[in-house]
Amino acid sequence: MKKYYLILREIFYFLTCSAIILTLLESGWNGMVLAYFNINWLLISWVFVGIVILLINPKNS
Amino acid sequence: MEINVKTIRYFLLLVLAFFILVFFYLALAPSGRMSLDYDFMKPSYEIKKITPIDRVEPVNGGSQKIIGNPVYFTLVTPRPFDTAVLELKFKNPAELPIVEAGVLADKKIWRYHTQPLENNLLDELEKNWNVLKKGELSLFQRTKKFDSIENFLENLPDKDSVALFNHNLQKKYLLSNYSKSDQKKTINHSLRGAYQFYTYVKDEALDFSFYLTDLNKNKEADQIEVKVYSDNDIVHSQTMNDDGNKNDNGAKSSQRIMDLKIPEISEGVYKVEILVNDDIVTDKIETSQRKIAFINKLWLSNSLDPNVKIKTNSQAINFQTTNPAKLQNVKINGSDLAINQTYRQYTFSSDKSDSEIILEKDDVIISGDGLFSFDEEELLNPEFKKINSNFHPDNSQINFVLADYTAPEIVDGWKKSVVKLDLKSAYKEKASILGATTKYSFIISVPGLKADDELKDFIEISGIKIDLNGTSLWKKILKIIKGEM
Repeated sequence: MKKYYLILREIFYFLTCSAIILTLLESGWNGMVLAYFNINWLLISWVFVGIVILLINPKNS
Repeated sequence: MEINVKTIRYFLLLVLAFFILVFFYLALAPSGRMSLDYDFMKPSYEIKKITPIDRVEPVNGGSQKIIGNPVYFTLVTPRPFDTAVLELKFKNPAELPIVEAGVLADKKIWRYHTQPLENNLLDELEKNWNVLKKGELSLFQRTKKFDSIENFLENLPDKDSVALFNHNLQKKYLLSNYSKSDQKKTINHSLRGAYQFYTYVKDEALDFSFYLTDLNKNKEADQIEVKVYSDNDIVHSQTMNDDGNKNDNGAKSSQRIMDLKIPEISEGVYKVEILVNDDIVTDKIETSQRKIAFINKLWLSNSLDPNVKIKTNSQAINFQTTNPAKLQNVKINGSDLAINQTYRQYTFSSDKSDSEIILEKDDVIISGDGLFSFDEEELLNPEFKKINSNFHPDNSQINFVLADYTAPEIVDGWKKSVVKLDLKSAYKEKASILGATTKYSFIISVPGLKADDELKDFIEISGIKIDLNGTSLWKKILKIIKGEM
């Protein structure tokens, strides 16, 4: 379980960084991201991965 | 198996860096080209919805019906471009005479540069008249007189027998029996917003004084710009700054005078353009010129006379008022036209080449396909007639039509037309803080199509494709290195 936890934690960090950077890019240069990619999917994935991490966190068990 | 967290982290960072680079690449469009498509199936980020909603029906099964004229859509691009090749797939079941598309060129006076998508009048003419073609230029002759377009251009017939469509033809317009006036005259009818007029000069100075007031009803700075054109070339321009009140408090400014004087100017027709927003009212115009013919539109704001007479050579004359107190009966050539609703455009079609309009009250926007004057003596008509939706070849003295027009092709039951639009001279808005996101405003115009009439006519659109062309990234870098930018 710890193996999955570590992988998902890295994905969570990746999604967090991506959401922040892409939002900043979109704010500075409108349409740069949203014209090709809907950031909402990133945020949904981020919330989902975050919940899974909380559930499988070895410290909780 | 041991998990190497750092490897996963670096890999994911690389993925993120790759996507950021891709987004930058797409936004910069380094080749200078971009192709955008709106198929009316799913929304497009770049090509926005067609508005206003009361002139369109909801999108249905991959197409949308336009029921009123004109309609607009916005194009959002990640950077500016120089040209747009617009391809429209449409149906015109009611055979409405003209369908055009264009781009906003001047926001102050809402001027669009349009190109024809379809002209059913010319398509019909092609069946019955003799046609000569050279490139995109076509010459339609009621009876064959010229055997080439060059021959026609070298031996232009009488101006009143020629009509143009989407093409400009220069012919020196001189009035042989014109003599200058010794007295100054005053046009005491106040005009709201922008307007343009033709005037004539011979052995005299071009001399106008505009008495201007700022209504201060909107928040923008109300700059006043005057441009003088000869044969479509600007020969003079001048500006006057805002009155200092940039608020929308409705505090009317004191009257200011803008003098336009060009002492040494050669004989001929000049077009004077007053570029202002609707906050600016020209209370009166003083001039020594004999001829003043207002072009296409006149917003009579306040008049000292109760029954203002206006002469026009327009054959379709439109009237509109925004002021409930100014609803009235307009007399045109003795016939009455009731203006009984605000914001509604009323059209009078005249079969006469010269008409007289008598207004009961002021504050009416009068527009048409010709020229307007307050005195018959002032009217002059240097223009070739333009083919518009009111053109009827049988009731017209036009024998020649010169047109830059290609009929749409039919693909799977849909008409497909392509027009090239210049975006360099188009009005654009920067739509991002740091980037170069640019917004352009497009128009689809179908003269005669009204949402509030009882006719069930419409134009159905099933696809908008825009191919954009601009400076490539490499050329731009070269320009920067050479110091050209």
